[in-house]
Amino acid sequence: MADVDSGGGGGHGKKGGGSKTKKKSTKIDMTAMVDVAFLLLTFFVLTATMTNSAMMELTLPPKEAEEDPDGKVKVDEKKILTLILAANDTVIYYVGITEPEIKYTTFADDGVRKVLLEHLNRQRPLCKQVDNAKGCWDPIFLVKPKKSCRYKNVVDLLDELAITEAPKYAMVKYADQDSLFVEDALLKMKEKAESGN
Amino acid sequence: MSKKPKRGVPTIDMTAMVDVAFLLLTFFILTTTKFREDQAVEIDTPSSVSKTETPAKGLMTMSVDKEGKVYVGFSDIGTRIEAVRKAIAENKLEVTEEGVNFFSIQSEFGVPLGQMSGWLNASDAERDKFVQEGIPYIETDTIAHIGNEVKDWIRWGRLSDQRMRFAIKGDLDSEYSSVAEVIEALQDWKINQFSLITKMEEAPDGIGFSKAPKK
Repeated sequence: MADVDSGGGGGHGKKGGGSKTKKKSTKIDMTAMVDVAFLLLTFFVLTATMTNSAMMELTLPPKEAEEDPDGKVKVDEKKILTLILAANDTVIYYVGITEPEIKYTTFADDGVRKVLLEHLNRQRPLCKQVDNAKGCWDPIFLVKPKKSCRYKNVVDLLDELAITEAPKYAMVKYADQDSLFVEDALLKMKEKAESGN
Repeated sequence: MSKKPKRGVPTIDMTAMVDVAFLLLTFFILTTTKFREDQAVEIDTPSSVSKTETPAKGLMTMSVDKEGKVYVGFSDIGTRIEAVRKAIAENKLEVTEEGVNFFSIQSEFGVPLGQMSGWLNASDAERDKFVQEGIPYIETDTIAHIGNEVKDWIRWGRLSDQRMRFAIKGDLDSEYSSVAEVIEALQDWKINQFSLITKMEEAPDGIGFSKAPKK
């Protein structure tokens, strides 16, 4: 089997091969060693834990802050893009809070990423964290996962926000009034469309 | 060389193959830092572009599987022992020293407190057959706040290791409701900063806001 032929073996070729007194073979039988090596190799391959797990840091607003109305900061509603994660991999999104236009998207290639980039690019230049000069754009993203959505969608959306380098985003609890709000907005949109026709 | 019809077994030069085998062997020996511990549950995590590696120490992991069952794991053996002793003392469980030792080698568990002593005191053969049904996270008594055992384990973990970090390891297909319950439990203890464990993924090029062409 696996063995090293160190010259003398067949007596072919090279210089010293001709002398017939040195015909003693110096072959070492390495079969056993190779067997052990492969056994160990198999063992290590199978037990090796691939370090491919990463961590995504997440900071949530404290619970008390959500309940405290005085602690709220006023922001321009046009800055806020709310993304509601619903069942069946759908995303409901709208800008602002007064009579928003409710739209739907998915996690397909030109889905939610396009929406995020559109909102980021709505107005240039983007505010730097230090200078908050007037006229610069400071978009905020709110992620509201419904209880019925898949966990994968939550991670995917947070990941999309990281990929598009969104400067400000937060994950907020989806409350009952949110679904009322969406229904209400959809109704108003319908009314508008009908009166327009 | 003259032709000889019968020369016995033909030899194959395997030197190169053996070289490669040893090279691989050396590589795997050197890169294996920790052997895979017995996992109570197999979880397929979603992927993200995050590059932060999961720390090997000082981490408490709450795994949520497809069916919404929750499993808890402590990374440090010392923390495991301390945490389980707190659980035993607070719930007046009767667990042998051997049971505590057995607990200390579990990287993850999903046994409700009610079955804890039965599981830890069992013989090896019985433990193999034991079905871990997940740690309950719904309060059975909403007034006295009893029954959310995930919340209890977070407290025991935090008490055992003040600098404990927390991570949630959810399955791709798990419903968000059960993950939300775990987050809720963390937030009840004012832990608003934690991590989600994901698989590493390459970030697509040229997508980022700063890299996009300016108008």
